[in-house]
This record gives sequence, structure tokens and C-alpha cells, in this order.
Amino acid sequence: MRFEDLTSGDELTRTVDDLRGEDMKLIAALLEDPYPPHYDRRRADDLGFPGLLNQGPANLSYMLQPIIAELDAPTNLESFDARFHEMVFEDETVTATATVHETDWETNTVEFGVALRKEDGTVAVDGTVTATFPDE
Amino acid sequence: MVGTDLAGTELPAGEFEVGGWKAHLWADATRNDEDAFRYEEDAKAAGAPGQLVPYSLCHHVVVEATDGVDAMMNRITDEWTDGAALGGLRVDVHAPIESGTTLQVEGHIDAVEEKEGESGRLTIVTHAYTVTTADGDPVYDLEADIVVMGGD
Repeated sequence: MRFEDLTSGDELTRTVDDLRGEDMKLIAALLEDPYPPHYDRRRADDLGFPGLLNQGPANLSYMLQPIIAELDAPTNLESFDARFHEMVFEDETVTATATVHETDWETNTVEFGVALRKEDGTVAVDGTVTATFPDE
Repeated sequence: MVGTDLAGTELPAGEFEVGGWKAHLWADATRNDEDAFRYEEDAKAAGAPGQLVPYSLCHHVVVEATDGVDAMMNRITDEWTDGAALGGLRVDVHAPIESGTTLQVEGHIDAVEEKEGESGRLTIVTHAYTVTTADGDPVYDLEADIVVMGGD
């Protein structure tokens, strides 16, 4: 995607369907995170959770993906911030939306407002992302 | 209970390297379609010198370089399994994270803030890190808010 293709209010989206518990177990292993609700359904149930609890960095990944997919290179991400509001569980479907807030014609930098929402519209994570896009 | 005197605590400096296998599996497990995180040739086609690491692993890098999740949380409180979560991240990127590259990490606890949340008392412990290559070139700066629920 080119810089001139993006104007304030434009949206990029990505939906991740039916988050898989087996992915969450792999994610817990990769992150070496011993918190049981990430991999142990009995412990998740003890805490009243509807299933395994997804990791914050995995939710961050979903939220960045609609922007990463449109960059010339993944290295064109400049900065991001994320605020984690709600837990995300296995079998849920989440949609990441990136909305263009500002474009800087001197640096080709675009600032997006980003949000990761559950099917009921609850915002699980939100924040901002800045990235650079080429002229042509 | 979280001690407010934690602010200013220096974290043990360390290093960490994300292997290509981990970047690949992370991309698979998070259903990321970008193949520059899986294959060197795709990363080179995008102008990178080698296979890239997703930025969503940035917190994992700093935590592991400074002794891991258990050490980070036990530094805050030994009751963290009663309820703790990543509350926020702020990252300024200076260079790509390349797989197989040794990253040097320094950090400290920047602030401790107690709050009354919707579900009771909570403490926010903000960690600040700088990440560089072994040659000292900046890769990224990161601040992370760890939220600990409960306490006196």
C-alpha cells in the first residue's frame, strides 16, 4: 500500500476466527510463561474462565497484523502502544481494526488508532501505531 | 503486597536471542500471514538482512533477558499467581529485530502506582527497558505496565 492511498478515517481490518486452545498452549511454551490458565483447562475453570486464557502478546500480534500486512516491509513499523483491557479466551473470534488518524507528508508516516474487539464489540486491546509507507 | 519502594530498582542486565524456529512458530501460533517472520528469503525480498522476529515478541525478549517471568513477578510480589497481567506496552522501534541476533537488555522499575479499579485494589508496576545489539546499536525502547490485582 502507498502513502497516498491512505487518508484520515480509512480502516484496515483483520479477523481471527475461533482462537485455538492448542495455539495458546504453544504460545505459553514459546513465552516460557508458567501461569496455568494459559495451558491448563482445569485451572482456567477453577478461575471461572470459559476456556484457556490467551496471552497479551498474542492479542498484540493480532492487533498489529492488519498494518503489517499492508507495509512494504515489516521493518517499517516505527512505534506502537497498547493497553490491555479485557481477557481473551479460546474459541473466541477477534477483529483488529486500524483507523488512520494522521498522515505526515514530510516523513510518509501514518498514525493509526488500533483496537482488537471481541464479537460482542468489547474492546480487548487498543492503542496507537505509527508506520511509514512508500511514495510509489 | 507490592512495595512502593520498588521504583528505581535496577533489573539484572542480560542478553537474549530469538531463534528462527521461535519466530516461525510464533507467527504460526498467532496466525500471522507475513512470511518474513518464517523465511530468510522472504525477509530479504522485503529488504531485511535476514529472517525477522515479530515485534509482538518484544516483551518476551526483555523479560527473558532479565531472568524470566518468574523472576520478574517474584520481584514484585510472591502472591502474583493470585492475579497479574500485562496492562500496557509502549515501544519505540529503532531497528528490526533479526532472528539469531544477540540482543542486550538493560532495565529498571520506573514507577509503582496503586489504584482502585472496578474489581478492587490494584498496583501498576512500570518497567522500562533499552534493547541494543551487541555493538550497542539501538533496537528498541520499551515500557511495560504489569498490573497486580489484590493486596492490602
